[in-house]
Amino acid sequence: MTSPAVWHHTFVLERTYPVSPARVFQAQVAYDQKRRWFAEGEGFEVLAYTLDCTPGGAEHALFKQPDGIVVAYDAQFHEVLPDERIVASYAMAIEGSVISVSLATTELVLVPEGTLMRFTEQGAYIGDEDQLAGRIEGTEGLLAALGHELKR
Amino acid sequence: MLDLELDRVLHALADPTRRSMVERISAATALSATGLAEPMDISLAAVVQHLKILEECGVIRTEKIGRIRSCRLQPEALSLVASWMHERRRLWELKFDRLGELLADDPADESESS
Repeated sequence: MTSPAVWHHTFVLERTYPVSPARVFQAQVAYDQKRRWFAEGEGFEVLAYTLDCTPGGAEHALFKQPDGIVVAYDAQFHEVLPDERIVASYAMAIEGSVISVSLATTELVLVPEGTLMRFTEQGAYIGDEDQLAGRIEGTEGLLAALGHELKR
Repeated sequence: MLDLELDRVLHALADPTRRSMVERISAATALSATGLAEPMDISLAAVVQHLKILEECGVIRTEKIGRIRSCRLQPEALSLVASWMHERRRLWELKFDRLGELLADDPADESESS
């Protein structure tokens, strides 16, 4: 069976951090802080990182995986409401080929425990089954293992 | 179009009884609820309940043929596409974990002090 060349999918992640919305917002817009949590610490070499989290601004990251493959992340910020919301779109490319284009909305909500951060990604994910197989590293968990086992 | 809730799939497959049911449905191509219940030490009602959970998250599909409810695997739910979506989600979860660590290390609102 061959997969269609494009899939659409939406997912929502929610986290509550015990700090103010202003503090979470700052970690999204300050270069050093965003670089620390967004770009560093995944075992990839960061070849480039730039950030301008303002309306119309851009974010660019270039990673080199341990296997030598270069992955690019390019985002544009469309709406930036301090301490409240960031609406961005981003594309990811492997070795120059686009693998996904997504709309990413980050909402910050003041709650008694601190800040509820809600991240919603609505994306178009591009590639046939062979390409997808190449993108999923051997570290994948339950679904990939089961999927492989049950695939006939 | 694929729009499965990965949390629900993972939750459904976290249960060993349901995993063994999925394996048996997979091996048999199609299986009735009664056929599933027979070798297991659980009631038919419990099997039906497990099947409902598996069907709701899209792992299996059931179909009533005459008086028999037949179960089939939905391979799309366990496909490479689903794995890749899961990977993308996991990528952001790792980033948000690190954001949490950064905020725990340095919780002060610096915009107020500067």
